[in-house]
Amino acid sequence: MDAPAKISHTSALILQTISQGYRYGFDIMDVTGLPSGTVYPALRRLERDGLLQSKWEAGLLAQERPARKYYRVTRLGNEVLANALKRYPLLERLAPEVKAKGQ
Amino acid sequence: MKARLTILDQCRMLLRTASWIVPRRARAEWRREWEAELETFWRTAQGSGERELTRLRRRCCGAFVDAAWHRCNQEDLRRAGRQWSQTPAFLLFLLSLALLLFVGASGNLPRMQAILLNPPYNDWQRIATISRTGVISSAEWLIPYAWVKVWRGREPCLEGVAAYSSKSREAVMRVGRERATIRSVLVEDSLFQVFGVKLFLGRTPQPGDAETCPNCVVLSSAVWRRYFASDPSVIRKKVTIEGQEAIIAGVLPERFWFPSSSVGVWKLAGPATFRREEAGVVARLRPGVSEASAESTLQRDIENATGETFSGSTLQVWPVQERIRQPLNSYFMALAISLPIMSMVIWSGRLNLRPQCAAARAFRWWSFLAAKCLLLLSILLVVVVEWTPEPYIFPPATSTLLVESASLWLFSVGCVVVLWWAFADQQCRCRLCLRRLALPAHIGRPGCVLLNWAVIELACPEGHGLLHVSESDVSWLDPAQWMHLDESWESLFCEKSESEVLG
Repeated sequence: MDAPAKISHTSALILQTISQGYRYGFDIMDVTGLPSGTVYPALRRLERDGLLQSKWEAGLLAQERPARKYYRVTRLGNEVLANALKRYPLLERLAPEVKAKGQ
Repeated sequence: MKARLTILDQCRMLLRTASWIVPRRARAEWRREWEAELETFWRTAQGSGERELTRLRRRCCGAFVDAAWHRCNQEDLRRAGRQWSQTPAFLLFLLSLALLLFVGASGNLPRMQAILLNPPYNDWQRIATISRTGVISSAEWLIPYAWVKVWRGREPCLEGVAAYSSKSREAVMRVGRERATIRSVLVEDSLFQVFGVKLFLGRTPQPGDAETCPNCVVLSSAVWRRYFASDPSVIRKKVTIEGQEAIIAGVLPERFWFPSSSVGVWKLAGPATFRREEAGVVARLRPGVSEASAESTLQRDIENATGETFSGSTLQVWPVQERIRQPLNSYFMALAISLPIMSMVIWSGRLNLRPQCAAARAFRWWSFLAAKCLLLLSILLVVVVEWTPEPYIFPPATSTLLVESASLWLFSVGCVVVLWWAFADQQCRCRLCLRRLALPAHIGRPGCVLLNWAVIELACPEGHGLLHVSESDVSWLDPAQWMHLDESWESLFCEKSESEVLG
């Protein structure tokens, strides 16, 4: 699939947040401050365009919470994000990187 | 605690409600994702303040936007649009819409109304045109005005006769500072009396009025409404038509038209104006006088009075309603010719239109074909009648053959084209669900000479069957073949929801 030439600032912010390790919808909202009505449609769109991939958590979880759907950036998504960061350099400073967050 | 439970329940209820917006095939997964996030948030938010709970509720409200995205995203819309475009309802809707658009664009079918409704003349059954016909039977010639004077003087079979100029023209009319281009026609002052029409405003012009008022004009109702704002005191007002001053003598009733519906101004003229001209003639027959007897009597009168021999031509008295509806008869004749041609094509086996299914479905099959043909022919008729040279009571040219042939040829060719298209479309539809067949697959390999494939197979999107169409015809009698598929094939074609597939 061809990469979209440009993505919006909001999409770039969400991609950057996920690439930093915030992989769940509600976590992305916490970090970006964006409302759910913006984040989720953006996630769907990015996934449809092949920039994100979603998966369900597997197996029983220690906290006995229901399995959540998580998102990760695809190779194409990383390329597009790299281009977007050139246009929006401040994005890199918005979200602190998370280690061992999610799966 | 009770309040918190209530908020969680509220959020669940919001999610459940929003999930109904999501298409069924994605609903279960969508709800599972949102509820997992909700549960996780709820566990971590234990002991948090009211602010966190409000935030949670607001996030759940955002689920409606997400659900709406699922419902309206382009992919789904495109798929739904593609599926709908294959249905028979879509084609009928499209054709109906096109028909409505053409009707609207024409301004509610003014010409069709003029043809189909009774002429707006008093006792119209007795109004007829008088013309000469020549070697070519459908060609007509105008009448020398001297003949009108002969008939007016001593004819017992006519109650009244009037001449009019066959050359209607675009005239520039100035009303105060306003300038309008209106089609006008020169008519004898006795014409409105012949028609027996009573003017909406003003007195019906009488013979001799043109001499006392040489520049008098009569307006159509549409012109009066548009350019004079329905002014009731418009009579005797002055306007300028083609640089000459004219006086408004009257306004005609709304439905009146003559000789075509586009004429808006009638200039009154006396016998002196027509003296050396050939003119169109309308007459009112006396009660009980037939057209045939009027023709022979009028012809004999002219022979006696002027010595005209009528060699190679005859006089024709043609009832005005028949004259107006004549183009319609020609159209039906063209349709009557094209239908057998198309029937022969089907009968020869060139197109496979056999439904090959139960009687009820066969009825639906033929009803759809009939509705499609009817709509297509209606569109064609509206286009031809409203957008080709309009019907004149007496044509502006010297020959009806030239005026009507364009629209007639257009209709004849159009009939064959639209019927062929309707039948070809029908052949490429599923015999059970009437959806348009899709998924074309080439069978065999391209030929060496024409480079086209031997066969194309089309499949019903619902998996009801396959249509086998020969691309390189072995012979004229090589029709497309329909093959029913049983229910076991449907799962290969139909898109099922996730839950349905998983059982």
